[in-house]
Amino acid sequence: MITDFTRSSRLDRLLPHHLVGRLYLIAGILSLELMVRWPLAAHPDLAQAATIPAIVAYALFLGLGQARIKEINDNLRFGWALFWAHAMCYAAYAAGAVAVLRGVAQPTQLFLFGLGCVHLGAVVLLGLACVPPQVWAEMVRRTGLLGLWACAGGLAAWLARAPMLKLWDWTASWPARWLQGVTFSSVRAVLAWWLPDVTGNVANFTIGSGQFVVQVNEVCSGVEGLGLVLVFTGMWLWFFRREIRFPRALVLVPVALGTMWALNVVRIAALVFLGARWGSDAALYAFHSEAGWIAFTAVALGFSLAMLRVPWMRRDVARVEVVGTEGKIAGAAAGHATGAEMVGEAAATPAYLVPFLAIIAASYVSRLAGGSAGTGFEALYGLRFVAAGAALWLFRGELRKLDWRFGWRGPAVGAVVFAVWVIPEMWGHGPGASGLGAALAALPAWERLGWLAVRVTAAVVTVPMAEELAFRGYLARRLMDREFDRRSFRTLGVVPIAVSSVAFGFMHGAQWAVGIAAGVAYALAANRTGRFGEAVAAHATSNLLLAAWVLGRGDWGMW
Amino acid sequence: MKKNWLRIAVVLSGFAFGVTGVAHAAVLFFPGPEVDPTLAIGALTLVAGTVAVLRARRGK
Repeated sequence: MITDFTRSSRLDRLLPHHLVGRLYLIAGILSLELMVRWPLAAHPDLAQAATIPAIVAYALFLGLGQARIKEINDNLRFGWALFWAHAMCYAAYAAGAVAVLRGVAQPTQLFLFGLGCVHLGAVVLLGLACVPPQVWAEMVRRTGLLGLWACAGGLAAWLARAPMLKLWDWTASWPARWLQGVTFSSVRAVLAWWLPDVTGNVANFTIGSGQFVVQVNEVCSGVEGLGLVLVFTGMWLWFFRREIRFPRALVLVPVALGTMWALNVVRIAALVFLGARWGSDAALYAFHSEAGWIAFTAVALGFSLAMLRVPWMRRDVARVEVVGTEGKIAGAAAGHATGAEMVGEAAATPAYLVPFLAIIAASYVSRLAGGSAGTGFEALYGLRFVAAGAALWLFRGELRKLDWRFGWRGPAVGAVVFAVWVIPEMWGHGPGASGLGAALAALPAWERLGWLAVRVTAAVVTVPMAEELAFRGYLARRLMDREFDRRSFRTLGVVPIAVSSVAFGFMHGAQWAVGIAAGVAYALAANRTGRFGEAVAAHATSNLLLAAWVLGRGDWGMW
Repeated sequence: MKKNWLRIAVVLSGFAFGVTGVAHAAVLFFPGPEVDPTLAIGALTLVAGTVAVLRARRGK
């Protein structure tokens, strides 16, 4: 299965050539198709019904068998003919689903069965396009019974979903009702210290002071936070299972859950306190969901820090961390195996991530302290600029190693991205009205000008640098190699570009689709030239033109 | 080997239970104007990024 890449197309070279990469490529393509087909599924067919068990089984197979799958280091050719056959099958499936949705075709059992078969056929063709049959056979042989176990796990997940959902349902189970009652009582007890005139009604779970009364409903009982913390801790324990001691590490899971619940009680009590003292807007808009996510972030970071720094819960990996890359290479060169697997991220990681993380952290403070109800105006926006600028300055030594030069391609790509960004607006389908203009108009002239100057400077200087460092500089290359900073931008493949662009797009809220397109364009600018500066120049140009558009047309919803 | 499977079972059960909790909450979720989904993405990015920074090897 060795491929002669000297004769392969440029697109072939962008695709992953190894088996694990191809398996992730299958997952990525099917995920995109799932997003497209989900709204079409008015009548679930065979493939629709198999989706959840199939996702769980595939994830289990990849997660548990990755080490053995990695042993099959094959340079795989991509089967374009099979891929186009897959695309045609998928188009036929989509046409059938649309026909059912519009009432053109009757959703009979036979029709839905046929539709499901066409879809399953499309999935099989995609699998064979990415991985040839003999490699599938080799993988099944090497992984033994894992495939069967993964399928059993998928089936178990499908069967267990209803009973598990019921356990979380406050109307159907005593634990959830009990949780809501305990949360309400705890909020009342905390508030009794802060607000002497607090009143509460346990019959309908309402609590407040004066004119401001809220209901501690089922969601407020902390069910989301507890679910999120369980997901986060489960993922952590799984990803870093080789570095931590079991069962000791499991002790921290109930501690994290308890902390999350306690912080939720404080959040609701603070919300009532703020509402009673300063009015409902401050409590409901600036504080309500901000505080919830800050609480989750605090618990998740506390859990991570404890897992990384408390020796009682960690295996002895300090030696490996100190040895690092150079040690491993030196060991290999000396002809003896170190017997240790390298752990930890590359030393350059903070330089690439901290500027962007500083912007997110500053945005918490800025929105919580200086946010204006529903307008998008943040009086303390400058904090984001200062935080990112300080982080970039702090890591200037490491960042100088990047090639910041750029030519005409970067600005040209940036101009195209700007055009794509504003086209929906020109058609009248933009992000909608914004209260930002009105909030700015209410400011004194010098304050308004100062705010706009900082906003534009941040959009053109610090934001492009920080976002490009995080998404193209780190994430795209990290998906290919742990030692990402040694990777040339010319080696970026389809999967890293796609994944980093999707992540970049989702950071842009309602404009996620154009955000993904912009991410792909910036990544290709760096990929074609091998220069990081090209992506930054493209991003800065887009933001500069967008700022000019917003200021020129007063179209504040675009910010 | 037995311990490995026990570890996997415990971790995956917790994860699955958490996923159903989030799914359950998503069904109940009150879609009020104060709820901003970008906050969720920001929080998860901040956590994941900070973990990566904390795990970075010191010096080269």
